[in-house]
Amino acid sequence: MIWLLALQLAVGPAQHYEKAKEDFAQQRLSEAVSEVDAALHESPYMVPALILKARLATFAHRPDVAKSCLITAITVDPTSEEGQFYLGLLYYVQNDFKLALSPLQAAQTLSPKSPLPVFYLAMTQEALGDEIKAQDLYQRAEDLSPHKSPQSAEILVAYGRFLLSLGRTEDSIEKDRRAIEADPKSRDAHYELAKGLDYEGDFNNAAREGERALTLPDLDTTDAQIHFLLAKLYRKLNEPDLAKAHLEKFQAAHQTTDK
Amino acid sequence: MADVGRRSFLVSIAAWLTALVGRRAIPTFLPAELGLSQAAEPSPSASLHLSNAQTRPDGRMPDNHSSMAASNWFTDVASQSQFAYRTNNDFTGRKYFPQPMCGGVAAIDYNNDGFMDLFFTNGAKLPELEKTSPAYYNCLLRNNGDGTFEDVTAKAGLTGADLGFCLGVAVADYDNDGYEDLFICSAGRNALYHNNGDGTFTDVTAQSGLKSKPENVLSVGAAWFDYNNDGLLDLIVTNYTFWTPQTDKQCFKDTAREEYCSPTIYKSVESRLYRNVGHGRFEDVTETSGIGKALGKGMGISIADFTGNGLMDIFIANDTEPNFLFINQGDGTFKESGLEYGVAYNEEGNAVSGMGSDAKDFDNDGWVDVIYNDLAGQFFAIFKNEGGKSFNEVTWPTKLGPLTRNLSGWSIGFIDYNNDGWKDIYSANGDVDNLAESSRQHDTMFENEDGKTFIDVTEKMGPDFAFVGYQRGAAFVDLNNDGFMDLVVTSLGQKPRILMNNALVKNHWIMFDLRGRKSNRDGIGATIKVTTGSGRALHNHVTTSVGFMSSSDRRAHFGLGAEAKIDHVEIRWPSGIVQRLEHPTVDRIVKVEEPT
Repeated sequence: MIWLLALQLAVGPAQHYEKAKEDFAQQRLSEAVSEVDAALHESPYMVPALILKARLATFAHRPDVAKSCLITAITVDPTSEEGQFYLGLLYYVQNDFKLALSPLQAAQTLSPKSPLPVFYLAMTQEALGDEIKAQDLYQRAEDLSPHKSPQSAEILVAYGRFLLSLGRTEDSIEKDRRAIEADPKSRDAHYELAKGLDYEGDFNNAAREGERALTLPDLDTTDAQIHFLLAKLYRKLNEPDLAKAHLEKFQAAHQTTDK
Repeated sequence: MADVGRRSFLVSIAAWLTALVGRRAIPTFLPAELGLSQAAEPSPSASLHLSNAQTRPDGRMPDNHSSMAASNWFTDVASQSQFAYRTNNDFTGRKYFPQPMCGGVAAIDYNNDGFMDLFFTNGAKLPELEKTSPAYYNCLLRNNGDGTFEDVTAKAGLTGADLGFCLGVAVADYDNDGYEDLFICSAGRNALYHNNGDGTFTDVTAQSGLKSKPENVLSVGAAWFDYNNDGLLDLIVTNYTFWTPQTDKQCFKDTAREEYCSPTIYKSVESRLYRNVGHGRFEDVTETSGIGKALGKGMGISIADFTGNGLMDIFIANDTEPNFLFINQGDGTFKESGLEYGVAYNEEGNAVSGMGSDAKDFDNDGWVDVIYNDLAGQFFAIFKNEGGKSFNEVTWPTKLGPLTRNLSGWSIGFIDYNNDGWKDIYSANGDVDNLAESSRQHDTMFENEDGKTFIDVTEKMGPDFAFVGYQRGAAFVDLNNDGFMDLVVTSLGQKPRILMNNALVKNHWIMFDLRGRKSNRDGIGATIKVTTGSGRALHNHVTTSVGFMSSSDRRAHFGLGAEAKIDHVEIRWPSGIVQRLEHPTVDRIVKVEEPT
C-alpha cells in the first residue's frame, strides 16, 4: 500500500496534464477533464493546463469557464501565444470583435510567422467592417500559410468569400481555384467556387463544382447547402427535374416546421 | 431575435480544433457530467382637396424646417411638439422575451384633414403584462399641419390602458365608412378600434370576431388586404409563439450577464387569417384557407400580387424559421410556396432571423420584389421577382450584402427618398440585446442606383437620422404633403423621431390617394403603373403594411426624377377594373375614385 501511495504522489501535475492531452486527442473528453482538473488542483496556474481546460470548456458550451481560464493563463504568462490566441478566438466566436483584437494582435506579435492569428484578425476586422485592414490581413495570412495544405485552402476559401462579399467575383473565384489546388478535396472550396461561377453566370461549371462538392467529405459546408445551390442552378439551366430532385434532397436534409 | 450566426464567415472552429487533435470528428458538446462547473474553476483574480389653411397652393406645408438642415436630408421635428410618449418595454434588468419588440408606428389620417397623423404602440409593466401607468400607454398624435403634433390619445380613446404589451399596428378602413381604423397586436389580447368619425375610437374587438386567437399567443404584426377581392378588407396576423410572463424563459450569456433567449427554444405557431364578412364582423379562416398549415415565428408581413394574377399574396418574414410565401389560389385558400419560389431561405440554404420585410418593385420591371432584414452576421436579403414564377436572390449582385454585414435590422422598406424614381432601402437598426459594443446602431439608407445596385448614403441623411440606439418600428409617410417621404422611427426607451425630409433636390413626384367603390375603399391591393413623358415605366401598389410592426402611408408615392410630365397612368383595381388617367399634373396628390 505504501508503494501505491508513493506512486500516486509521484504523479505530478505535469503527468496529469500529459494524460489529459492524450485523452483529449483520443476524444476521451470526460477523462481529459478529470485529468486537467487534477493538474490544476495541484498547480492552479499551470498555463498549458489552463489552456487545455479552456478548450474543453468551449466544447462543453461553457465560454465563461473558458474565458476565466484563458485570462488566468495570459495573466500568469502574457507571452503565451496559445493563451492569447485562444482568448482572441473565444471573443471572436462570441461576436465580441473589439475585445478579440488585442489578444489576437498579441498572439500575432508573439508568433509572427503563424498564419492563424493573422487569419482570425482578418475575420475580426471583416466583422468590424474594416474592409481595408481585413484584406491586408487576409493577404498576410495567405502569404504565411504553408503552400498546398488544407490550412492554406481554408484561409483561401475564407479570403475568397470575403472578396465575393465585396462584389469582387473574379478575385474570389481565383482564390477558390487556388484553394482547390491546395486541397483538391476541400468541399468548401468547390462550393464557394460554384457560388462564384453562379454570380458570373457560368451555371454549367457552377453546377459541376457543386456536384463535385457533394462527393467530398462534409466539414463545414453541409449537404443541404449544396443541394440548395444546385436546385437554384438547375432551375437556371432549365433542368426542372434535377432542380426538383435537389430541392427535395435539401428539404430532406433540413428540418421542416410544417404541422 | 436570434443568435448571431457567423458560421458562414468562420472557418469552422470545430474543424480547426479537430485539425489540432488529428482531424478526428469531435462532438461539439460534452455531457453535463463532465463537471465543468464554475466551482471547479480556478479563480482569476399633397392633396387636391386639402382643407388646411396653412397649406400652400401646391399642397405643400410651409418650409419651416428646411432651413434647419439645408445639407441634411432628414431633420427630427419631434422636439417641436409636446407629447409624453416614449417607447417603454419596462426594461428594468430582467429580460423578458418580447421586450426587444416594442414601438410599433402607424401613419393614419384619423380625422380626414388631409394630413397623416401618427399612432404608436407601447409596452407594459412586466411580469404584470398590464399598462399600469400612462408611461405604457399607446399614443395618437394629431398632425397640426405646421410641423407640430398634438397628443390626442386620451380624447380619441386610444390609450390601450386595458391592453397588454402592444406590438404591431395595422391601419385601414375595414368597414368602408371613410374613416381609417386600427388593429393592434399584443402579448395579451389583440384589439380592433373602430374610428367613429368624430375624433374618437371604439374598441370593437369583442363583437368583431377577432378575439379568436389562441390563448397566450404572442401576436407581432398585422396587415389589411382583400384576398378574395370582395371589396372588404381581410386581416392577416403574424404570431410568434406561445408566451406569458410566467412561461418566459431565462437565459444567460455567462454567469454574470442575462441575455434574451434564442427564439429557437420557443415553439412555432401559425399566423391567423380573418375574412371580413361585412357589417364589422370577421370569420377566422386560418384552417380552411391553408394559412394554418405552416408554423413559424412570424415577424414582418408584406402584401402584394407576386404572380400577376390580380390576387393578393402574402410574404411573412420568420425569425429563425424559413420565410413564408403564401400564394393565393383564388378559391379562398393559400399555398405556402416559399421554398418553391426561392424566398424561404437565404442563398446558403439557411433560415435566418427574419425581422421586417417589404415588397415593392425596386427595379421597375413591373414585378414586385421582396426584401427582408435580419441580424448582424446574416446579411439582409433582397429577392428579384422573375416574372411571377420564382425569385432570385440578388443580395450580392446588388451589392446590398456587404452594406448590411454588421447590421441588426427591424423595420425595413423601399422608399424613394429623393424622388429619382428608384426605390431606395431604409432600415431601422439596433441589436436585440444590449451586451455587445455594437448593439446600439443607427438607421441606414441605401440608395438605389438604376435598379441594379445599392450604395450606402446614410451619411448624407444627417445626424438626426443617424441617431444611435435600438431602433424598432418605422413608418414611411408624407407628413407635410410635399411629395417627399418622411420617416417616423421608434427606439427603445426613447421618444420617437419624426424625421422630416428636407427635399434637397428638385425632383418631381406624384402621389395617388385612391378611393375604391367596388373595391375596398382604401384601394389596398390596387397596382399603379406610371408612364412618364419619356416612356419610363414606374410601378407601385397600395398597401399600408411595410417593415416591422408598422403601418405606412396608404397613398402610393412615385418619384419622377427630372421629368415634369406624365404620359399616362394605369390603375388596376382589386375589383379587376382598369382605369387610365391621361397626362395628370405632377407634384400633386391626386385623388382617384374607382370608376363603376
